[in-house]
Amino acid sequence: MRGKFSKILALTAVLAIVGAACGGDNGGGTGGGDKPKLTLTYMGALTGPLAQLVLPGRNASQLAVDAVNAKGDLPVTLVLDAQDTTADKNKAQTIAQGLKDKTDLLAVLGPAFSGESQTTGQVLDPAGIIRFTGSATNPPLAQQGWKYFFRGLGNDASQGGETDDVILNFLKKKTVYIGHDKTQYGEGLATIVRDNVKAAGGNVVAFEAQDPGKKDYSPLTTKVVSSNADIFYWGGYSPEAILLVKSLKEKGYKGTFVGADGAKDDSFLKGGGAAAEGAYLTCPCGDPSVATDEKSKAFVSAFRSKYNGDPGIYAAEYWDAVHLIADAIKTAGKPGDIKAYRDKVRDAIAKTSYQGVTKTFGFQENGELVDSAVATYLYKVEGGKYKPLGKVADLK
Amino acid sequence: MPDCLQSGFWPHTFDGLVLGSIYAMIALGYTMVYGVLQLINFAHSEVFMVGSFFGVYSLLVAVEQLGLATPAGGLVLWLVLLAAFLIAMAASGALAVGLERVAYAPLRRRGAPRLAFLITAIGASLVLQNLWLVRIPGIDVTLGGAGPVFYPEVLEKSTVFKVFGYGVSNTALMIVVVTAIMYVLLDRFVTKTRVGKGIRAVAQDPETASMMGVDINRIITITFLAGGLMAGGAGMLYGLHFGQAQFSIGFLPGIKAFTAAVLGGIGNVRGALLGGLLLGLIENLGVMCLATHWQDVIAFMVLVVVLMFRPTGILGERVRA
Repeated sequence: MRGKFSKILALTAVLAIVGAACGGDNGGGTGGGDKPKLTLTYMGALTGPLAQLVLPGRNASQLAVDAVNAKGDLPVTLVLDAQDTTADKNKAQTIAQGLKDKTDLLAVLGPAFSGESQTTGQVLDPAGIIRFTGSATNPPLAQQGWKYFFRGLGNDASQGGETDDVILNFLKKKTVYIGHDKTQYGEGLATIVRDNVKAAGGNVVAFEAQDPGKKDYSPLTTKVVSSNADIFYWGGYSPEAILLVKSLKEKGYKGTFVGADGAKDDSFLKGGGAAAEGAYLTCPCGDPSVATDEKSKAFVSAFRSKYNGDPGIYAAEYWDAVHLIADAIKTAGKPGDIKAYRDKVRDAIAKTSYQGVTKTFGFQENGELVDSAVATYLYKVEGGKYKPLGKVADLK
Repeated sequence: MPDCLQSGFWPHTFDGLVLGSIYAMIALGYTMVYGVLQLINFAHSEVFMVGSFFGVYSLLVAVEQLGLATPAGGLVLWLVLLAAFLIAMAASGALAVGLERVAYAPLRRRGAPRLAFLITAIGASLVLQNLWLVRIPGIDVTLGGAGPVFYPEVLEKSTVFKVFGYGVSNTALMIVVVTAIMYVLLDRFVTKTRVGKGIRAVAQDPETASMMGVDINRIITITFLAGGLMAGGAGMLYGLHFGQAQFSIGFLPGIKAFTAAVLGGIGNVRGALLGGLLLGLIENLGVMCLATHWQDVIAFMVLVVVLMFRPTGILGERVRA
C-alpha cells in the first residue's frame, strides 16, 4: 500500500512539473486581426543587491516600447518581457534555454551583465536570437564569433583603456592599488586598467583578488592604507564598492577611490554616504539629464514623469536599444517566418546608422560599436550625487 | 625588517582583534552546544544573522518612529544602542532556544542517530536564511531581502585613536571591549555558578550528571540560550560596524567561528575565545606581506597544522574551566 502511494505521488509530481514547464510557453505570435506581436525580453538582475544597476534599463525599455507602440508606425506591436537572472550566470543560461524556442521572441535586451551574457550567448547565438546589450562591457563577448550579438556601448577595452588617462593625467596621481572581484567583468576590467596604467608609466602597487559577498575587507583596506597608494581602483560592483569606501575612510585612507560603471548606482551613493564623497567612476554611459539636445530632453522628461526620478545608469542606452531595433524592424518589413525575420532584423541592425540619445550608432562585423561611437565618461561623487565631468577624452 | 612588517603589524593586529572578537562571540555557541550535545549546530550562523537584523530593526524604529537624530549624541544615543544590543541578544537567544525545542529536542527524545541532527541543523540554517531572503506571499513583506539592509547612521563613525596613520574606529573598539566584558561574565557564569557547574557536568558525563540531580533538559536549554545571546550581541555589533545586515551575513563568519572553536578546542569556553582571536589575527597578519587573496589559504593551513599536532585543539576538549 505504501509503495503504491509513493508511486502515485511521484507520478503526480512529475506531471505537475511538466505541466508548469509547458504552461510557461507564450505560444503563437498573432493577436487576431491586429498587428502581430513580437517580444523583446529584458534579462538581468531585477532583484537583489545588484538590481539598482539593472532596473533603470528595464524601466527605460518599457518606456521605449510603450512610446514605439504609441507612435504606431511599425508593422508589429512590441511586447516587453522581463526575466530576472539575479545576475547568476547559470540561472541566466537556464532561462535562455527556455527562451530559445519561443516563436514570438525577436531579441533579448541585455543580458545586463557580462558573465550572464557569456553563458546565454552560448545558447542563444546558435539559435539565431539577437542579443542587444546596453550594459555588458567585457571585451571577449565580441570575440566569440557570434553573429547575433550587438553591444550598444563602449566596452572595457576603451573604458579601462582610458582609465590610465583619468588617473595619470587628469587626477595627476602616480601609484595605484588595484582590487577586483574575480568576475568576468571585474577581473577583466581591472586587468585592462593594470596593463594600461603600467604601459603609461604609472606604478601599480598591487593587483589583488577579493571574494565578493563578504562584509569584512580589512586585510585589503589596511594594506591599501599602509601602502599610501594615491589611488585605489576597484574592478567590481557596487555592494563591494560600498564596503570598501567605508572601510577605507574608517582607517583614514588619504587617497582617492576610482571605480567603474559596475559601482555607479543609487545604492553606492546611499550605502556609501559620506565615505563615497570624492570618489570617481568611469562609465561608457553619458548622463542624458545634462544633455541639451531635443531627443535627450524628451527622453529625460518622459522618464521623469513615469518613474519619478532621473534616468539611472544605462537607462538611455536601453531606450536607444529599443528604438534602434524598432528602426530595424521598419527596414525589415512585415514579419513572416520568425527565424528568417530575425535574420532580416539582424542585418538591418548591422547596417544601421541610427541617431539615438546616447550616440549615433554604427556596428563592426563582430557586433561592437564603430570607434566613432565609443566614449568613456567620468563622474565624481559630490553632495551625494553623480556629477558628470564629461568625456575622458575632453578632460585636461 | 621589511617595510610591510613594520608598517603593517599594529594595524593588522587591530583588525585581527576586531574580527577575532566577532568570531569568538559566535564560536561560543558552537563550542558549548558541541560540548553538551556533541552536535555541530549549523544553524548557529543564522542565529548571528538574526541578531544583526534585530539590531537594525531596533535602530530603524528608533529613527523612524521615535525620531532619533542621525547622527545622534549624548546619553540618548548610548541608551538606544544598548537597547538595540539587548533586543538583538534577546531575539537571537529566543531563536536559539526555539531551534533547540523545535529541531533538536524531538530528535533527542527519539534517540535519533548523529546524522539526523546534522541534517536537521543544515536544514534549519537554510530555512532561516531563506526566511530573511524571500518576500513572504500573502502579506507581501520581506524580513530582509536579497540586498543589504542598511543601518541608520545614528552613531557617527569616528576615529578613537591612530596607529601609524591607521585609524581605530569607535565601533571597532566597541566590538573588542564588549567581547571582553561578555567573556569575563560568561567565564564566571560557567565556573562560579551552580548552573555553570551543571553545564560542565553534563558536558563531562550526562548520565552521571542526571543521577546527581542535574536537570539535563534545562541545562541544554540554557546552553543554547547562552550561545544565542552571545551570537545576537555579536550580530548587532557586526551590523553596526559594517553598516548593514543581510540574509547571507552569517554564512562566512559562521564557518570561520566554527573553525575557531575547533582551533581553540571544541567544547572549551576559553578555547572559543582563544581560537576566535587567534583566527582573526592569523587571517589579518598572515597577509601582511602577501597578496590578500592568500587570506583563507593561510588561515586554513594554520588550522590543519594545529590539528595535526593537537587534534583536540589548542586548549583541548570539554567545557573546562
